[in-house]
Amino acid sequence: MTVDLEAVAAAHSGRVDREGLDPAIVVPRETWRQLAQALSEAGVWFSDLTCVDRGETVEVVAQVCASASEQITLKTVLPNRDLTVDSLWPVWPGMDWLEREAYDMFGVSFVGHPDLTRILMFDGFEGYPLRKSFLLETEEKAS
Amino acid sequence: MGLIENAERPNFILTTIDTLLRWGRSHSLWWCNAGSACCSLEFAAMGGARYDMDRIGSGLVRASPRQSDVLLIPGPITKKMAPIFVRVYNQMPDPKWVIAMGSCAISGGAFRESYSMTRGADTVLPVDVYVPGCPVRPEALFYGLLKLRARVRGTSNIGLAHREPIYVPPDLPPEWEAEVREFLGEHEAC
Ligand code: SF4
Repeated sequence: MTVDLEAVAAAHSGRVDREGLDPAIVVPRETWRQLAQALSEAGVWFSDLTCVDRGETVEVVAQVCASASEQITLKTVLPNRDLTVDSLWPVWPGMDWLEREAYDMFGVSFVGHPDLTRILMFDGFEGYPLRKSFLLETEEKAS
Repeated sequence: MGLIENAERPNFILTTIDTLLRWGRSHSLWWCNAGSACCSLEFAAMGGARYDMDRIGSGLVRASPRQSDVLLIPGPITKKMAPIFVRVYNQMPDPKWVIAMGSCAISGGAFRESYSMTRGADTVLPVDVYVPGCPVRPEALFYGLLKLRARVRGTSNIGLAHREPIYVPPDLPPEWEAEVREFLGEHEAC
């Protein structure tokens, strides 16, 4: 099975980015879940979800597979001041812990996730440690 | 045991019992291995034929902290795990000792700057023996154990004894290696 990336991207007001190792579909956050839904109905399954902190923005990156040899990256870019995006849990329930990890480490809120709590750090931990703006204890003292 | 430990002044009966207790304890230091990281494997090597800690009666690694005397911390303590380490320590019956094994347990080691790690086991628990290394050589841990054993045998249990930590030197001085080798040599069966 091959996915027509251009058509899928166009249908979700996104674009195809071929710079990386795998082609990436970059969509605005409004169509993030619809994109996943459409792909899921076409028989695509996911393998990973994480985030990338770009300073001003945070990218949510999901890795999906159309077949064993066909990997596609899905991306959506969120501005730092409003890190919310639809959860993919209704589409792929396995996203549960991956989204919790992304929330724990980057502070992205996934709307519609059934139990969005910290998963690696303890409750009561402050801050999101993989964000570039997070200060370690030594850096706090130095500044 | 409370009677003995709370007695203010040593007398003939107490000191005799005390000597017996110290002798017994030093020959049966049982472990509680809170194996938090890779140093734990070097500890496992101590159970093998080359080092064989059974020969000094320390071969029993108990599954329950309630049956053990020495809490071994072979690795970093994460902030999330710290309360659990304290709980395990509190479950151990007195008298109890703590060995911090490896640079992680001493100071945080490679993870010192991490957001999720405590900076050494002594930020969480009172540590008796510090054994450096990354990972710790089994000889070094054995040396630490021998020192602790000597301490257990030599320290009176009468009254509340203040315990200074034992620091195993990091740069492998020949004396201690010789000491361990000699000890191992004496007891070597094969
Ligand atoms: S000191 Fe080194 S070997 Fe020991 S737990 Fe830490 S990283 Fe692992």
